[in-house]
Amino acid sequence: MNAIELQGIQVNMGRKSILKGIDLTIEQGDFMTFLGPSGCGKTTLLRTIAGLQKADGGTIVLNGREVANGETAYHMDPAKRGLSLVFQSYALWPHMSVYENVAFGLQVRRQSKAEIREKVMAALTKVRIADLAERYPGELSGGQQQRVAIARAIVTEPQVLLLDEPLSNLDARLRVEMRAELKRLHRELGATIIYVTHDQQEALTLSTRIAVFFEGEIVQLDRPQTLYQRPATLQVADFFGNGGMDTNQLSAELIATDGGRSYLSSPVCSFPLEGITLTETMPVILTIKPEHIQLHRSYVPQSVPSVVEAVFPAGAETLVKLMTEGSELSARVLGDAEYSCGETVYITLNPEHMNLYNQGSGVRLSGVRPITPTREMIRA
Amino acid sequence: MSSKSLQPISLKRNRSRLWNQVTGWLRNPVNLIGTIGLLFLAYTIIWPVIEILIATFVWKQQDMRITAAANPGHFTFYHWQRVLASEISPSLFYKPILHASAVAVTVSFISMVLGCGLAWLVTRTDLPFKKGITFLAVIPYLLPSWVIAQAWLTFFKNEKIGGTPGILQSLTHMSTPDWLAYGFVPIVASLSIHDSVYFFLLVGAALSSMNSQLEEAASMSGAGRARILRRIVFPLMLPAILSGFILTFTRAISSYGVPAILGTPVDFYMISTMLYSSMRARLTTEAHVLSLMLMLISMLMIYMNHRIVGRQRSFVTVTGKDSHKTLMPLGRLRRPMAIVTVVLMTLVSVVPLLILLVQTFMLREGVYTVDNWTLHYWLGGSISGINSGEKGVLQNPIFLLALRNSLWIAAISSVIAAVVGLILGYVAARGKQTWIGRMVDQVSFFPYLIPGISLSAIYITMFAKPHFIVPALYGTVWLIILITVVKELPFTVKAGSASVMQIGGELEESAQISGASWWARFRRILLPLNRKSLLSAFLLVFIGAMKETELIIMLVTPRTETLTTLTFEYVEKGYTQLTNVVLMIMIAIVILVYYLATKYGKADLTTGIGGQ
Repeated sequence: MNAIELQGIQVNMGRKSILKGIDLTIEQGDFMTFLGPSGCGKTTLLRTIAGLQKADGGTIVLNGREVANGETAYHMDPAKRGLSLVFQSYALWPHMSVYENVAFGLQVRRQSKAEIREKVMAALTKVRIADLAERYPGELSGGQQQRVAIARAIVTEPQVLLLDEPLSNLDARLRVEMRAELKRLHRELGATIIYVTHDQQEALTLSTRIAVFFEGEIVQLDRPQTLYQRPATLQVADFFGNGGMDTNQLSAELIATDGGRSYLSSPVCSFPLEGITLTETMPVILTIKPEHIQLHRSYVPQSVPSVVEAVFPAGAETLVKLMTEGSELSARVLGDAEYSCGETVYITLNPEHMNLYNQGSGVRLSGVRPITPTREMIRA
Repeated sequence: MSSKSLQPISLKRNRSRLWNQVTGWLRNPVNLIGTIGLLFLAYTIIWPVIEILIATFVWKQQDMRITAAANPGHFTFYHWQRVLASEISPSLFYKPILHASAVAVTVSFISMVLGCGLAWLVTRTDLPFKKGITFLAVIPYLLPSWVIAQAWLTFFKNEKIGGTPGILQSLTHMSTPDWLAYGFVPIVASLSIHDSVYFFLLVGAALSSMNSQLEEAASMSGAGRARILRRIVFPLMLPAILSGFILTFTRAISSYGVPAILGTPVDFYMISTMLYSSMRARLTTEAHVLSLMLMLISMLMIYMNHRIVGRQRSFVTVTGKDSHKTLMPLGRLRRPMAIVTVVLMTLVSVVPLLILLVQTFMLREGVYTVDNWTLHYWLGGSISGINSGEKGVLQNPIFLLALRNSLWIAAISSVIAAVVGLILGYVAARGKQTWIGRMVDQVSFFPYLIPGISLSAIYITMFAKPHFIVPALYGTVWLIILITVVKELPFTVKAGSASVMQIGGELEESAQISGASWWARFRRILLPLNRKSLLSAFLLVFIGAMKETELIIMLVTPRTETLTTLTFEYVEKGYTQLTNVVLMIMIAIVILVYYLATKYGKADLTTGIGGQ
């Protein structure tokens, strides 16, 4: 069953259009992440789903119930939508103890004292801070406050849990710890989660599906692996590149031969392609991840000589900056790599992991695949 | 055919769209409360002013007695002409306005120098006894401004208005000159002592939130102390100084009690005293014209302030953040400065009170012998030879009535004003982006422009008879409560919105998602988190209501007598000792409440009068 269906959601603020027609279906039990740079509209969409922001157009259906309709200006109160939201700032009430913070939602629902006590303690136990119940938010660390905010959100057993950049105020170590916690909670609760973040790593680690936002539109919706391996546009690839997962980009060309065959021609490699028919030469951008470049000490077939420019050891892996035929490339090597600057190495690129983009539009050429080179072709 | 069958559906769709839009709009608390708030403000502020404005252009029944040209109910410029351009206008309008403006400008300047100087000493130097000095500085504010006038008169009175001469004359056996006893000089002195506290609080708050690294940076660039003050500190303080100036100016120009005590005996009329006597002389319409002129002057002042401060707003250095502060050492001057300050402050804050207190124990004024000491004025019964047989205060049923009225009015109106201020402040803060929020913000500021005496002149006419569903409030304490709440709105709404602004919207949104209604959110989240500001607003209004004179002097009836009006009545009758007994009791109540609120509630007066 679909937990959330969004159709043509539009939101304007003043004259500025923040969301330009979002269509999205989220299934029951999904861990859906809205990923994008700041100002792309992801938090606005979250707030629109929550009901804190009115939709100027489009419809939202939660568990089969229409909760917002831009055409009829219908807007259901956030409280009646059966969802919870964890705010970026946690928004814990400073004058209430942890227990009171978590109990608030149950108290306004007028549940019995005993029932409230039981549910609050269960929620606090779930986020592993049952011993902090009597403390006040001001006396807690950032990570503990985060747990209180989550406990407060899950105590009402919402069908949908919304999280707005919940980890962005934590330090690096806590962030990794809380990621594991969130994953565990998602498994235990079985609720549908919508998670907003601008952190690519976080999105890849946590989600079952990721929607990438740019300027009020969803540009790609995919599983994390697909998204990582096959970014739909150069913009998405770039965005992932900025998150410490650099991607090598090279200018290349697709050349049509007389036999109706297409070839990729680039400074570092060239091979025949299938799935595309060309009438003239087409400029493209070729991308390949650093981990898909292999370094060899000596020449191997199909390899290209490169000069080592710099070496960045990072413990488990080493990033090697190379200069190949006038283009800069980075390669990632597992473990320590004893290369010195100025040394010549030979690199091979795995065509399977390359992506080709239309240079003008930046859209990935889908369906274009390298033809695995046969022995004959290599010989030729 | 298809269009035919579609039509009803789209019609229904449109109707439900409109319905959804309206209910959706009203379900937003900012809009709903804002609408109710605006209706309240329109009824209590805008409508009265418009009504008065119209009334000044219409012939009245009683005008028939003055001129044959009168045609009741018809349009005329007669009243305006009578006030602004007739043979009586010099004494009715021009002289009083000249006096009032001269007094207001002089008072503002003197208060500025005193208040800013003191604020600087207390916040920026290593002066000792700061806490004590601050308390001494606030005392005059806790008293009605005319208490100082009363003390002044006790000291400097001459035989001009009869009765016992003042202390000075008894000591020197020389007649105190009129200029020192009455008129411009003593009015300015009394008002300045009272009003410098506005500057002290406003500029003090601004100074203490200014990062002293700004001064140090100037000092590193080689600037001397004087230059730092002139080029760095002064420009940064300009907004605070200007708002202090406006506050002082508008209060001084419309003050009634002080000129009534010190000006009227020598026919030194200010616009407020003239307004009052016009009302008493049944020249109601002329009084309304005077009110409107007074409003116009206040508006011009505010407009000028906006013109000047508007450009200054870009300064962001005065933040609320706790910043590093270095106190300026006074060096060898430290001790002498402290002594001078304390002595001066005692002289203006404590000595007047002591003079008045000592007076209450003297059977006959000005006779300093042991057998003249008495508790008659506190506890005594009726003796026909003294004060026409008026009983000692604590035995006097009128006093007990006034005490009960005063406490009741102050308590009720301060609670209402604080809560209304918070609610409207909520609308102004959360609705900053919407027209309704901005309207509430601006309209609630309007009473600031209406001098108290004008507002009460308007309210007399408006609430003398039943009005829509509102019964005739004149003659009940509810009218006095209403006018107090309305008059204090600019301060309480400002305090409320500043306080709500500090509470992130997410705190409320998370409660909203948890299912809390607006009322639950208000009660459980906003109210507790705004407790301090609420208490400050309460304190501000309580003190204001306890000492309020201008605003209610025309509204009280024998049944709604308050402590201030009772005192004022005693002043007019010349019952000096009784006046002072009542004053002492009143001041004791105010100081006690101030002490309790600041000590246990952490209330802070500056938030209400516009401190950052």
